[in-house]
Amino acid sequence: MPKSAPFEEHTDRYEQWFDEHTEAYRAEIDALSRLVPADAFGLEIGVGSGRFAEPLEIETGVDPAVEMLEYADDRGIDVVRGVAEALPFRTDRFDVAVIVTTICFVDDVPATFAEARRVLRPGGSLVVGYIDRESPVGQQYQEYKDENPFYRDATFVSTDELVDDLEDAGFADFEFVQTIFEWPGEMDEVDPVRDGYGEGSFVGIEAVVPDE
Amino acid sequence: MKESLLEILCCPLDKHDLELEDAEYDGDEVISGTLVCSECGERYAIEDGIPNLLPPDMREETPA
Repeated sequence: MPKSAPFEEHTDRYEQWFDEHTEAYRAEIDALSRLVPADAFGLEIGVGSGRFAEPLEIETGVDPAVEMLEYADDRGIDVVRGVAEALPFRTDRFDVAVIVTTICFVDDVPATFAEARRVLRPGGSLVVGYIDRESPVGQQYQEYKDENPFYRDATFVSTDELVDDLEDAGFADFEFVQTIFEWPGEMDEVDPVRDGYGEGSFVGIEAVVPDE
Repeated sequence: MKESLLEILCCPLDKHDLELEDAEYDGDEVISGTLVCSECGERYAIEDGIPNLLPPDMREETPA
């Protein structure tokens, strides 16, 4: 089953993180904005409360946690309750799909990427944003995960593992961005976005569905 | 949900089209009703305007 129970129980605490870490949140949006094409018809998988879909102008969102979807609904997103491994969307529908700080909570990463590929049209792109397990923040999350209600059941991933899974699902033409070079709670200004990965704790990958 | 969302939704199990039954509206929004798979007949409720398209075996496991 999806690890959605803490998000249903602690929705307010989840929302509070974004209000208390505005610089880190802004840096993550800046990074993802570089990869999400403008004017694309989009789906966010694991949309949660819509904190990323709204600024990235993603119209549609799916998530198993209905308490979070009520926030996303209020933010103007078209919301549907469902899971990443069995998406209730038709084939070849979207120009872009995004999965942000969600991949560590899905039950089955290969099935999630296969479903994302199915709903994307040929030439469409999947954007995955996450805390890299091999980064400073990723290592800290991994070490203290048992003390955090959201991360207790999370499986953190490395960029190399995700690239392997994306290739297996048939994606190609990878592009990487990174940000969060300091501790999210200690940022005085918004961290820059750089190409590549390996230094920043937050990584974004764009992967393209090849044209037929 | 907007009724136009039906154009992109499908059954999460077999990916066939869904038909809207017993719809109640608030302006353009469908606030309650049932989405029925045109192939397998599985029924999915629209609750407070949000369609519940979880696979049926996950409905009980995910606490409301």
